[in-house]
Amino acid sequence: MLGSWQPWEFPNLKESDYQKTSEESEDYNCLAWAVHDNTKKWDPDELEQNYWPPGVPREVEIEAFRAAFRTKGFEDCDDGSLEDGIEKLAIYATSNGKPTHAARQLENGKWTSKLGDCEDIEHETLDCLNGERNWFGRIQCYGKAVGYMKRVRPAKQSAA
Amino acid sequence: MDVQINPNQSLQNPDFVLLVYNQVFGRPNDPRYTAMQLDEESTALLRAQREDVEVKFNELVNEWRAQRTRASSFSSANASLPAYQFIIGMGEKALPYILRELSKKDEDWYWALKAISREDPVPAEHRGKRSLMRQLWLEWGKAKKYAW
Repeated sequence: MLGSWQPWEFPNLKESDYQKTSEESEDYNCLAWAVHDNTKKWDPDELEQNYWPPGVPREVEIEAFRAAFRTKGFEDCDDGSLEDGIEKLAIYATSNGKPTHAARQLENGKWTSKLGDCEDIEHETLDCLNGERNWFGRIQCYGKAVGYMKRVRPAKQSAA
Repeated sequence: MDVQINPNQSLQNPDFVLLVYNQVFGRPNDPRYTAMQLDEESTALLRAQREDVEVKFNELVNEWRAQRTRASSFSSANASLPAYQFIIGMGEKALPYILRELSKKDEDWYWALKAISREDPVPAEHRGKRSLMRQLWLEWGKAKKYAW
């Protein structure tokens, strides 16, 4: 089942790697989805059009992303291994160190991602979303997972 | 015929304004250039300018939609694309067309709207809530008398 993204945006994503779990939507994005929020976009845009936690620098920097997730109870951790009762996030960044995406680990060890304005997917691994600039040199892919955070898994998945 | 401009004449006087207009644009001070004819000329000129703006805007929108990546998580990625920046560069003339596109579909027009207008009808507590942002910006456009 193909999604609404362009194939070159995810050069390593095969159909067998994922399942779509929602329709496409511009109502929220990956950072919001990572913290169970499907009501708004989290985006540190400089013109302050989108939500960004108060007091966190509006910067596309890994440390700013970590600070944003800390407002939801996450703390830094070493890896994305599955642990009982723990919910983890993976932060993706390109080779220039700029963060691009966040994925959330499900209880079954798979990951869930909102792909920009496209669909949510459940994916087997973090690596299947890896990619640097595509061969046109124009599209910026997600890079790869470079950092992890964790918190006690909420009792209800729908609660932020 | 040269017009002797009397500094005591008032710009509130339409006959005097017409006299100056004809002088500035090199027209004979001919009574056939009535206010109505001038009105028709300026209306036609405005319409042509508007059509030029619309054609250019539509070209840039198509270019932007082809360039943008929908998988990007951040509005700044698509707002930094050249076509989008050219739309911002069109300034206030682009606003009715941006509002027209926004009225059809929720897309990343908020960056351009704020950059051009330097206004923001979305209160801080509603940032990122797209359907509400869309509604508030369309209401803003109506309040500002933009037609789309």
